[in-house]
Amino acid sequence: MAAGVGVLLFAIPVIALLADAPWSTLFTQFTAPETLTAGRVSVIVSLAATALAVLLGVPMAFALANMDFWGKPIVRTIITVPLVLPPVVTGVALTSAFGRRTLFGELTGIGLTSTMAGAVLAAAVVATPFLVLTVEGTLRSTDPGYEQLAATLGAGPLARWWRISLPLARPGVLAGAILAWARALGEFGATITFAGNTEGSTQTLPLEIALALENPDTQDRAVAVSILMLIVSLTVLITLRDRWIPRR
Amino acid sequence: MTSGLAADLTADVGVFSLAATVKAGVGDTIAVVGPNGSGKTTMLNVLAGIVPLTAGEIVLNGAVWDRPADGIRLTPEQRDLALVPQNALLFPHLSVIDNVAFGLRYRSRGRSRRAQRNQAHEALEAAGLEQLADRKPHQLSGGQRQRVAIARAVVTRPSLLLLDEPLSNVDAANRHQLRHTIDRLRPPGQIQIVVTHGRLHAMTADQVVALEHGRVVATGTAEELGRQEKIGWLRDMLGPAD
Repeated sequence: MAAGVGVLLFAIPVIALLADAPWSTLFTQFTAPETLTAGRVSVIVSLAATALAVLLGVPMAFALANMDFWGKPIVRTIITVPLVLPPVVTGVALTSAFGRRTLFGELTGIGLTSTMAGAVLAAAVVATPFLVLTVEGTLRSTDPGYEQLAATLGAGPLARWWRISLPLARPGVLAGAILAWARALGEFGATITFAGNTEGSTQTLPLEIALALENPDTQDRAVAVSILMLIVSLTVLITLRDRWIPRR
Repeated sequence: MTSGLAADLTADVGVFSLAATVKAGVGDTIAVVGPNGSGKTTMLNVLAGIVPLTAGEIVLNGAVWDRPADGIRLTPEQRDLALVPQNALLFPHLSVIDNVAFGLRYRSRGRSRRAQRNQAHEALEAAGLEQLADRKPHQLSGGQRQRVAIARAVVTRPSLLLLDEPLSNVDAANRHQLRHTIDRLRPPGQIQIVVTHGRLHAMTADQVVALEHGRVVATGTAEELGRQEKIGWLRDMLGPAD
């Protein structure tokens, strides 16, 4: 019974969104200049944020899963705190660290606020914990016997990591990257707080939706773009899950 | 320089402790027997360097592999050995041939990749699995996986070969061929330590080491241990067949 109510809780908003859709003008809304521009920014920002999440998150996950070091619980808390922190707070924190009037801003001569790099950073910070936790989980569930056996066959630490651990973690890295990408694509709070809402550089699709929703004349576009994001997210999730993530 | 294996093993794994001595001459085969939980696999893991010694030493052909008192401890990759684990542990992302060739990259340095691959194919052929070279481990039966694991270990021609119940998942028809493979690819002087529950394997060993609760309770030839009266399970295993 409770499970059924739970499913309805998720299904009803999606059905309502589809019922609200301006079907006759959907294609026109998709190809509106504002949508195309925000779509381009979203693609660039979410993919760059995912790349950053993989580059930084995979080594962090390996360190958390395989190494014992002082302060490990604190490090894990710091890495995963964006999961529970309101994204707006993450945005404020990023502004305090990388804004124009910070040490970083003075040293570099440029702050990251109101820049596409800032939007990428905001999306990466909120998305990386998803990747770290997914990869760490995969590593912890992998039989350590594989690495030990590779050692008995003469493989040193680097060869074991490259030829055994990393390939075995691949499903987790892919699953984590997909989750991180989905989170980066949907990122709103940290982006608008830290990077702003500038068309063509920081205005991503979620920001475009929020902006379009404020004006009664463009509310149809908000719904249309929402449907577009729903379709893209579902398509990627379903196709990649079946292809790359083995079913247990 | 003393030839052969001299291992005085003291190690702890959780609450289990192992305190056993194993000696083997050059080219010897030692069978390790004992009830479940007696420490047979732990003994192999200690020799392999997966589990560290807390005291004692491991010396192979004069080279010290592990001696905590002197702070010496070679890592598994620094030891001239190969291990066949009980559950095969084939690398799931690699094909059969890549599994067999895996150790050759590190143990046969100086040989070309092509030569290493040919060597792997020969080992696979000797194990009767040439036709499965391109398959992935999950496409093999349990027995086939075990045979690949044996080929992967023996192909590196180590000085010490550790086998943990190597024939347990292999049917009778293939046991003979596999024993033949292990013998055929055995380099001169190789010491083999075989954990086994099989009477035949123990009978053909040069020496049998019987373990109980992490301690050696008897050692000698299979014939000698089959004649003793003190340890019932050992007499039942190695004594004259009815």
